[in-house]
Amino acid sequence: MAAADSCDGISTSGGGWEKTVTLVSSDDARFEVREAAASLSQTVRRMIRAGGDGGIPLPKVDARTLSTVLEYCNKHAAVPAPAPESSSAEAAAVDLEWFDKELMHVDLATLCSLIRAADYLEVAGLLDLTCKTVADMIKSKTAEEIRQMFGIQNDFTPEEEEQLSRENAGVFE
Amino acid sequence: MEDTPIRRLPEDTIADILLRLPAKSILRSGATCKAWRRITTAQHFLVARARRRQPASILAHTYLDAAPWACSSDLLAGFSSEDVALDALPVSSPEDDRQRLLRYPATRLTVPAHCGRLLASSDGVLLFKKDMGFYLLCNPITRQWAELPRLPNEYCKGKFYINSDPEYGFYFHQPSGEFRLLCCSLTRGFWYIVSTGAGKPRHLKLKQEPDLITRFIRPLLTTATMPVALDGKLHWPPIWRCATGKTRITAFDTVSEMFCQMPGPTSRTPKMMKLFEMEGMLAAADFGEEKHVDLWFLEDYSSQRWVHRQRVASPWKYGSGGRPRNDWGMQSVAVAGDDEGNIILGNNDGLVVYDVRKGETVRTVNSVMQRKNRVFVSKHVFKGSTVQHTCFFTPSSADSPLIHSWS
Repeated sequence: MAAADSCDGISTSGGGWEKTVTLVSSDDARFEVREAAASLSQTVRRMIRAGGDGGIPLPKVDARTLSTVLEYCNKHAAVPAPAPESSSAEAAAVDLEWFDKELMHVDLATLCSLIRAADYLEVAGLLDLTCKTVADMIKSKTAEEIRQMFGIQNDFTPEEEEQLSRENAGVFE
Repeated sequence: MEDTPIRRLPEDTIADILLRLPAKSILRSGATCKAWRRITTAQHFLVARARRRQPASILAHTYLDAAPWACSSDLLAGFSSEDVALDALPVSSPEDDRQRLLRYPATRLTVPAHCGRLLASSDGVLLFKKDMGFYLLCNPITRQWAELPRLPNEYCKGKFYINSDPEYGFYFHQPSGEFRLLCCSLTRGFWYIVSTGAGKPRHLKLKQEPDLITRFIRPLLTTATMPVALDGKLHWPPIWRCATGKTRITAFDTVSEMFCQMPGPTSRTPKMMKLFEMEGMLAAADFGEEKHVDLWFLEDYSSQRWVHRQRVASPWKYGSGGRPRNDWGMQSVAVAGDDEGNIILGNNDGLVVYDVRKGETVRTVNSVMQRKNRVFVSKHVFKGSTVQHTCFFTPSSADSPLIHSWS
């Protein structure tokens, strides 16, 4: 996936004359991506507009996370604006949903890196997907189960805890 | 403190995650640690949550003397001596907080067939049948309208409306962003979908014969409970039971477009059962007993385990005759739950709000909702939505699809 060179961020590799850009991760890996896909990130889109050469540096995202983000962008940018009548648009929507589901089969640490990356890169769809995934993990759990899952320390004093459970009476059954 | 992945997320992002949770889960999350407590009690969090939260309401029809509608040349207005107003009553607010959504001329069941009849409500959008094969969608919050593609003549055949194709489900299809209507042509033996995004009806390929499915579910017009949408599936209440009291719920997966069945709550009287959605859970209220209503919750969807959680005192006085005697009577019974832990249930003869957290009936709601005031409780549940879907438009008064006013 890492591309060797792209001096001005525009190349003509692949099947057509599609514009590509090069993104550089924090650990210096280079990714050549279609501009349409990279532009799903508002941050990258702004940087493309601002111009510059030698690739776009993304010092807050490591290669592993960036490759997943780009997997998402490539897939979602590949889907043309739906021609709603056709059954293929239907199939594409279902396929996309499957893809998203599969992409979220990762451990918590990876998921959190993805959230941070999506937040920094401003990929709205991915941020929504990842936040929703974490929310679903929390949804049916008790406070103690949430603490265990996320490794959160209970820092309430016994008095505070007493008061909390009084306030939330009936919620913790 | 240990640096776990979630702790490294900025507070704003945590807030963004927690905002997506139902009220109960937010309270639980706020009890995990001080940082999360601070997030979930911050003013801007509460404001954002209030904006996001759309209260669940039940809909009531109020009959009023006809307004002098401007377009009196229209057949509709000519035949009508009364107006219908659709009002939303939020589950957790006092009775006089009814919100007027829409007002339109009432029409008899005779000519013209079903003008402006409310068929269903889904994701903040009301579905009206204006004529055979002619459906209107209305979002009363954004005051926008949409039309489903009109059905070709062959779909609307039949001398009487009972011969025409019945509508079974109305839902929002998330992947495509379309509103869709699920119908069955019994005479011609197939299921089809009409959607805001397609020009003509699309036939479904199903393994089962249509009548095998229609034995288990009723059309929108006659069903006791509107099909409940949850996790991309529509759920119809059980109709039959086996000797042991086991019941089956029929579901339609709106993505794979297949029907399936799943266990329902145990009941001797499945036809007296209403389904509803509450805090992301499928729930059921069984009105089969004289003195109480049993509340069931599908606590774990994947294991399909129903739990009998509570027993609510009947909203009707013993022997008052208010309680519906059969599934036809169940059509005018409302049941809806919201994120505050409240459930409203009953009909014009008795309507109460029950708090599942306190485990008690907290309010009686029928001083206004009475037949003598010409207010009729409906089976429809409404959650307002401010989403502006692309297929909707804001008509000028000249090209309004239905004679109506917003107050």
